[in-house]
Amino acid sequence: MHRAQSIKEFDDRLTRVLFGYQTVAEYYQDASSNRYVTKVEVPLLVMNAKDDPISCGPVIPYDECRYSKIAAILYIKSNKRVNPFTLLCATERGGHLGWHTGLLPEHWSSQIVVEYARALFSAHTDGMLQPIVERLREHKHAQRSVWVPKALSGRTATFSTLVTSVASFSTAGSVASSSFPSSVSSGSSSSSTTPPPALRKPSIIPTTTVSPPPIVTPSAAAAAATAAKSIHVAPETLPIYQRMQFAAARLAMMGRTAATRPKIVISPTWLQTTAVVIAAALIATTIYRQRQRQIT
Amino acid sequence: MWTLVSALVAAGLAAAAVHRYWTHAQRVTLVHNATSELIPLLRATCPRLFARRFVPTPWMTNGHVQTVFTSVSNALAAFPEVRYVREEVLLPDGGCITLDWNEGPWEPTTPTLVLLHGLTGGSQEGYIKSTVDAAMRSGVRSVVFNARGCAGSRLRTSQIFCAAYTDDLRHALAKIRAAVPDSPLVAAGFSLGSNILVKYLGEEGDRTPLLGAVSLGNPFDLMCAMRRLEEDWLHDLLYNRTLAGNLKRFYSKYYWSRQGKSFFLKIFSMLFFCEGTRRTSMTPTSTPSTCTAPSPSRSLTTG
Repeated sequence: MHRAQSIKEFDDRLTRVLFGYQTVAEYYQDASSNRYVTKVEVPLLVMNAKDDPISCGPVIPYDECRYSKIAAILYIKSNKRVNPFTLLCATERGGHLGWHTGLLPEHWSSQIVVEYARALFSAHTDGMLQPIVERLREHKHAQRSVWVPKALSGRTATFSTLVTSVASFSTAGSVASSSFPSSVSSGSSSSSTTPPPALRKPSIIPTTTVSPPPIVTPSAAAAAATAAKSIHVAPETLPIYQRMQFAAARLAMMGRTAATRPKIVISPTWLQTTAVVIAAALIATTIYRQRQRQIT
Repeated sequence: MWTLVSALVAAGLAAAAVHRYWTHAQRVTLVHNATSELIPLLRATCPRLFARRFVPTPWMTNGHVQTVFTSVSNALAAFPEVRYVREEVLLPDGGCITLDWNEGPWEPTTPTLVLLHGLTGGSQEGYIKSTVDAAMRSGVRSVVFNARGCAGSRLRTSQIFCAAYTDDLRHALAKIRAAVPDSPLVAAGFSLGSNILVKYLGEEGDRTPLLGAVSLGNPFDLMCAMRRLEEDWLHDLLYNRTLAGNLKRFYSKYYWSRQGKSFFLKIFSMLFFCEGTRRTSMTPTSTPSTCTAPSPSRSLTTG
C-alpha cells in the first residue's frame, strides 16, 4: 500500500480487498453512478465542466437528461431512458470543483447550489413542488414500459430468427458506430422487408441455438386481446431474449434505434436555421402570390 | 520590420484569446427533458443558473489552473472561517462518521443543506466552506457529512471511505432527519461525494427524505476517470500522484494509530505496546469479519 503510485494501485491494494471485489475494474464499475442517473426520482441538478481534468468530459450524461419536444411527439411510447428530474448544466470552463469567477476568485458553483436549493425550498413551502414531483414520478414509471406492436403477436419462427439477427446486429452496430441503414422501412410489415447486406453477416448470437420462444407472455397476450393496438409490459419482468425481440421489433417498426436516432437539440444554430428557412418560405410565398396577382 | 510582424501576430493572438473568452469560455449548456414541468418552475426561481453564462476568472485560462487553484486557495485559507458543531454518529457495524452542523441560531423549520465532500476531503475544504458560507448568508442551515476517517472522524473498523458503499449516507440522512424533523432537506455532493449521492438516489428512488440534490464535478464513470488520470504525464503528475499521496498519508496516520507523536515515540510504542499494528492495520491479510461487502444482488441486477 505504501508503494502505491496512483489511485488505481491504491484501490487495487486496499479498497478492492476490503470490499471483496475480484478486480479493481469490477469495483469501479459497481461504484460508478452513471447507471443510476436515469433512476433518480427527486429533482437533481448535475453540474460538470467540460474541461474537468479528473471527471472527464465524454462521460457527462447528455443522453440521460435530454428529451426534446419533437422527440416527445415522435416517440411518445418508446422506451426512452430519460429522466424528467435531471437538469444538466455543462460549463465550458471550470475545472474540477473550480468554477472560480471574478478577479479575486470565488466559487460560482456554491452560489448556484444555494440558489437551486432555495428554489426547491420555496417551492416546497408554497406546496408547488410535491404535486409536480408526484406527476413526474407517474410519468417516469409510465415511460419505463416496452411498446409491443400488435402485429408481432402471431409471427412464425422465421420472423423470430430474423428478429434475433436484427437484434444482434443492433448490439454489434453500437460498437462499430455504424448508422442503421434506413432501408428497413417503418410501417411496412416486417416479413416483407428485405434485410440489408450487413444483416447477412454471421451474427454474434447464433440463431440456431435460439429456439422460437413465445413472443408474448400469457398476461401480455391477454392484455393484447383486450387492447386494440399495443400492450405495455414492465421490461424487468421479461427474459433477455424477449427484451431483445421487442427492441428489434420496435426497431423494425421505426427503422431507428436509440443509438442511431438523430439527436435533436434546440441550439442557437438550430433556431437560426429554422428562422432562415421560415423566412425564406414566407418570402417565397409572398413573391408567388404577387406573381399570381400580376398574372390575374 | 520583424518587430512589427511579431507585434501584429501577438496582437492577433491576444484578440483571438479575448474573442474565445467572450464567446466560447463563458458558455453554459443546459440540457433537460423538454416535457418536464419542473423546468418552468426552476426558470422562474433560478435566474443565475438560467442566465446560461459563467464568467470564469480571466487569468485562469484552462481547467488545470482552475483545479489547482481550488486546492491552493484552500491551503492559503482564502475562505471565510466557518464554525461547526460536531456530532458523532456510531454505525451498526462499529464504524463512525461525523456530522458538522453549521453553528447559528436556527429555527426548527429552517431548510437544511446536506453537503458531501470529495476524496479524502472534509468540512474544512474550500468548496465546502464557500458553500456553507453562501448558504448561511441566505438563511439556509447546512450540515457536512464527513465520511469514515475523513476530517477527524475516527476510523474504528477496517472499512474505509468507499465509492460504492451508500449505507453510511443512509444512516447519516436518517440521523439528520431525526435531528431536524420539520426542516426540508436538499443534498449537494462534490466529486466522489456526488458519485455516492447519485448512486444512493438511484438506489432509493422515491423513498429518500431529500427534496432534491445537486451533483458537482461527478466522475460518472470511475474507470474512465482513472484512465484519464493515467494516460497523460501531466494528469499523472498533477493529480494522480497528489491524490494517491493524500490517500497514503491519510491512511498511514491511522496505521501509526495516533497523530502528533514523535518518530521515536512511534517506534517505541510499536515495539513495546504493539500499537499501530493491532488497532487498524491496513494490511489486507487481517481483514476482520465486520467489513461488509456491498450486496451483489443490488449491484448486478440493476445494470
